[in-house]
Amino acid sequence: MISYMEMCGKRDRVEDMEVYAGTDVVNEQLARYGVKFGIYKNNEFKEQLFPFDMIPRVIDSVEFAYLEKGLKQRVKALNLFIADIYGNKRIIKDEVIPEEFIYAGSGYLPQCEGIVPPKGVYSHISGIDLVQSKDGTWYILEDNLRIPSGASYPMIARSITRRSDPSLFTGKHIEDNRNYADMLRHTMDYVSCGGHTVILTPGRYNAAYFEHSYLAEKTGAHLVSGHELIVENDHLYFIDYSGRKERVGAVYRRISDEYLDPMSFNEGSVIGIPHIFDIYRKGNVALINAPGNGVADDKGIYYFVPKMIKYYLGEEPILNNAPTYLPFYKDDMKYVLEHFDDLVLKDVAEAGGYGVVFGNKLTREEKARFIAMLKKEPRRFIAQEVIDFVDIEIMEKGEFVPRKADLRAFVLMAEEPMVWKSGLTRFSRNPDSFIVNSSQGGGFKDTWVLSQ
Amino acid sequence: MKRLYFEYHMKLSFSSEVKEHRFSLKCTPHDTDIQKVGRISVSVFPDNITGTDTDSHGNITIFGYTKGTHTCFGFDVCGEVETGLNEYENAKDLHMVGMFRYQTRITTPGKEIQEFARRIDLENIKGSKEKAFEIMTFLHNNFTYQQGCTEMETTAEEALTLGCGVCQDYSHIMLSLCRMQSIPCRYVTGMMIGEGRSHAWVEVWDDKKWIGFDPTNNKMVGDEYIKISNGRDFRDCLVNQGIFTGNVQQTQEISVIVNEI
Repeated sequence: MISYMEMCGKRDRVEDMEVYAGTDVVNEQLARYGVKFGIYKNNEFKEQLFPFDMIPRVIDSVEFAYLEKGLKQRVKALNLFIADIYGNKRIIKDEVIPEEFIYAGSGYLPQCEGIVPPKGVYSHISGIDLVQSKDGTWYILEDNLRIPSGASYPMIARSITRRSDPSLFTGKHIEDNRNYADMLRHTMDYVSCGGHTVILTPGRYNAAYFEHSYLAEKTGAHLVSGHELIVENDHLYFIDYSGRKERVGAVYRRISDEYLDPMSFNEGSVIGIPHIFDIYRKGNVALINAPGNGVADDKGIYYFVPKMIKYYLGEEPILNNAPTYLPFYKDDMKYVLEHFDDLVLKDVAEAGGYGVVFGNKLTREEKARFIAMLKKEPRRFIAQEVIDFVDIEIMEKGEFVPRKADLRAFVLMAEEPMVWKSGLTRFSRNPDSFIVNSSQGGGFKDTWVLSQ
Repeated sequence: MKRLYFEYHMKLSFSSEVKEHRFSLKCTPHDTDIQKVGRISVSVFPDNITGTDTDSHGNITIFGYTKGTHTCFGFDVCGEVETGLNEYENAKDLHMVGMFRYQTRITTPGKEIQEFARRIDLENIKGSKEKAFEIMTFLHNNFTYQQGCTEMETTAEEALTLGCGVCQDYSHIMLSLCRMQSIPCRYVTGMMIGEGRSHAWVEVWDDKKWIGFDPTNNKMVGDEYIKISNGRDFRDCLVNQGIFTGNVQQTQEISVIVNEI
């Protein structure tokens, strides 16, 4: 563990830090480039800036090499798991995972049964969320294998920071993170079935529209919306401005499974492409990421990822989950009831910080009610030890203040998994909060990986 | 064993012109362990088939797209099928059919079905086939066949609350009751001798076999049945699914003829 402060020699006053001067300039530039995310509040679309803190998170090369090894291992196993579930289901047959965790969840899509995507890649882009505890141990908090977003923010922040103050980088051995576009392009080309590569966006009212357009620009892919793509004669075509049709071989789609194809999923979808799923099944187009990946990244399945690593790879997991209990199992239920006040309980069906309950924050009646519900539907919950995250310093109103932060690492899968030597560090601006989601007003930092 | 001749006609009429019509049809029987499809002819009008495929449940899907406008869309399928080649379809192992053990939005039981289930005495019955038989008989005797009582999207719980329905409703309720017993089971769309419309029934997994039960007629599925498609509920077996542009009223006509040759 190394901090930027140690790297540069901490000054007492924020104003003396070399990063201080650039903060406003860089944030202004980010605003000009439209680095925003949109949120819907009271049925109104609003765009908010995503506040950038100039003090980078620094990860030294030895530590990152360890993370890299662990992340590759995890993503490999997750890909094998998805292939198995939509294929021979060995992991169910061998009773490593009870079938109800697969079929009773919402992530499993029966439409994907028997489909092997181009080159057998399911999770082309994985966003793995990690936290570091105060003793320095890294824990995996969550796997995001559907459409993880966020890589564009550290990409553009690095690029603007370098331009606004190149001296910040001199003499420091930092891995260049501006290669993400090349990695992504290679990932898309590797699975392409021939023809153009496009990034499919639901449009400018999507929360991550900035990212869609930025990644298209940087990878040289066409940025398209659903009505510009059409399925004809078993193939997908892009209709250009003159009305000409061009074959499309790979779609990095930033719309969720349910809206992808009204003929196979939600028939009310107007942003999807009718029949795209049928030609995907035939192997005539690559969809990035593969539909149905949700079966591998919900909270109930998270518990089983270390078991998957042992099962498919025959290896011990390098990176650990936060200690998790599954009340579905009798022994775990007993533990959860005995240590209720020390645990955080999560409803597997909820997301985005909802359905999260800290055992010690409940009143006696709430606790009794919750335990009754837990006993009635044990499969619905997981319980975790509360991890004491490490604090990271941010600059606020001319002072250094400690805040909670996580790290989203990006793992891209082509011939082999590749880990991007950077990542999105998100922090909570509220000193009492552990929630770092950008929609909750959090900010972000660049992540520097040292090359030596 | 029988040789059956069938015709399946479907016509969709629109009150005014529609355009950009895209469709997926699951209207053709395929070979199984029970039936063998002989000569078959499929025509879709306007003529605009762009491809065929097999979905994740093994059903033949025809899909297509019309660029121009039309006020009428449909298909005519006819052919010959040898039936009753076996009593059941061979099934995959239990761990491969797990998805059919879980309720869908359409089959999820509510109060009414849970109450109904309590009235069926299954305690001393062993075996999925025997349990399913008891469920079928009880359902048949306690639910009324009546057209126009339910709609296409009516769920099992809603149908049982109404107390009446058609083959689709019988099948959904039976699926719901079997799944409550953790028996894997699936919805089947097909045709039957002597009916003027398509039919629906249920297949129950028992020791690596899919066994057909017809709760509407309270009988085991035999050689007078032709199977078209199967899935978790009717939504996986929609004969015609389409989207188009146009603000219109639509009426659907279906006629099915099945004769023994």
